[in-house]
Amino acid sequence: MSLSVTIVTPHRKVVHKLSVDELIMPSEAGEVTILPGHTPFLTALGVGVIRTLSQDERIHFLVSYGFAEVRDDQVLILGEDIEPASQIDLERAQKAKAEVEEKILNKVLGEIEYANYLKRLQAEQKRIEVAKQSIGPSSKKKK
Amino acid sequence: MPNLKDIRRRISTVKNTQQITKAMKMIAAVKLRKAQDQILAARPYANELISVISNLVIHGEGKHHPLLIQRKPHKVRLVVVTSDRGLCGAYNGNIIRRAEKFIQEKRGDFKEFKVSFIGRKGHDYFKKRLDPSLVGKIYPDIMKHPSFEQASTIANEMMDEFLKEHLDHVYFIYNEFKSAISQKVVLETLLPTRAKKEEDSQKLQKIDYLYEPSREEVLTALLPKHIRIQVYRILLEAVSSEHGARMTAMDSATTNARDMISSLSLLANRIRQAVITKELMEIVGGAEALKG
Repeated sequence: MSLSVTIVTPHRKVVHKLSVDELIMPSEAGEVTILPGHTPFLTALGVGVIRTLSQDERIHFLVSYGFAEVRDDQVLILGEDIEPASQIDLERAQKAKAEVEEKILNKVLGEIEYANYLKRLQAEQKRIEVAKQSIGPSSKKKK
Repeated sequence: MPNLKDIRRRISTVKNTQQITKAMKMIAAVKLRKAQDQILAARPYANELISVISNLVIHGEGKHHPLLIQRKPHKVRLVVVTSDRGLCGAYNGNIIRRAEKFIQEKRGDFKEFKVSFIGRKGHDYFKKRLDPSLVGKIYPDIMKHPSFEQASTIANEMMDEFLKEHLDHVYFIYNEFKSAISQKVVLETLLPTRAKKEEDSQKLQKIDYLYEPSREEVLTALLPKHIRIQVYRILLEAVSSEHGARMTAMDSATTNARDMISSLSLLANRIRQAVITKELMEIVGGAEALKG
């Protein structure tokens, strides 16, 4: 038995019915591991890394504020910003982070705007972390 | 009789115009393809999202979520989606006519009413005709290449105002893309959100989900995403329609130019022939006179 994972963003299908043995995702309340046979489950995702494990491969995805549904061993992950960890552009992430930081510091922001920027800052921060890890010696796609 | 030179000049003018319309048609076709690809890419996301939300709302008590609350329409915003550029047939005209009708009919029912614009053409038209107090914001330079980020910004703004109760209803008027030759003007309610219709709900079987952290919070995470993708979808539909309309308009312009060229060349040839005949007659006449 295995899980079938589909990850969809507004721009594309990141993976379609990928077969894995185990999936770990960052729900807003903490990390959740899904194994085959899981009960139907709905959760909001925070900022973090989705890890999929199968016998010969581990694939990591960066997610910020998504959503996941588990039903009949089908995992559906929806998010506006999900990308494979191996495809993160470190330079771009750093630039984006700097931009957000500047906005937080130099602008007079409303409460909601401020919260939104904080969320984005957190997301960019995580992106940079993940990018640095996957460039480093312990490459994410190792078998 | 028209001068032969003038007619030749006109033919070459029409030919130049034809070249332009032909090129515009091709460009519109390419852009249409791109916009359609974007719609196709966004569709699975939108569909999955709406099915999960409908499931939640129909089977749960999620009806009290702030984004789902139906208030009486006192403060209303109408968003008119037109193109930035012209030369696309009746595309903008249809939208503007529909918007005008809406404004005339409903104006009196609302306490506060404003019209916002995506795309320059609608704004250009209404700013001269409407009471200035009705003309709201214009979101420029979006129709060139609508991105999800831009759609999110617009959607977030609307949600913000809705949650603060500055707005009770938000309507969109845009062209829905049917095919390259047909577009349909649609009036749609963006906020408050409605789940799918009842008849669809029977198809959804009830599933006992485990919610984390809670049903309310899952809904809170999902609804804004849903609204953002709806705005994105509307923009993409509008852009596809625009390019479709432009393609058809330019195609018929090219055909018209061809017809014009052929009738002008016929006229030119006839005149040329007449001139030759006249000259021949003169020569023959002159020769006869000499013989005489």
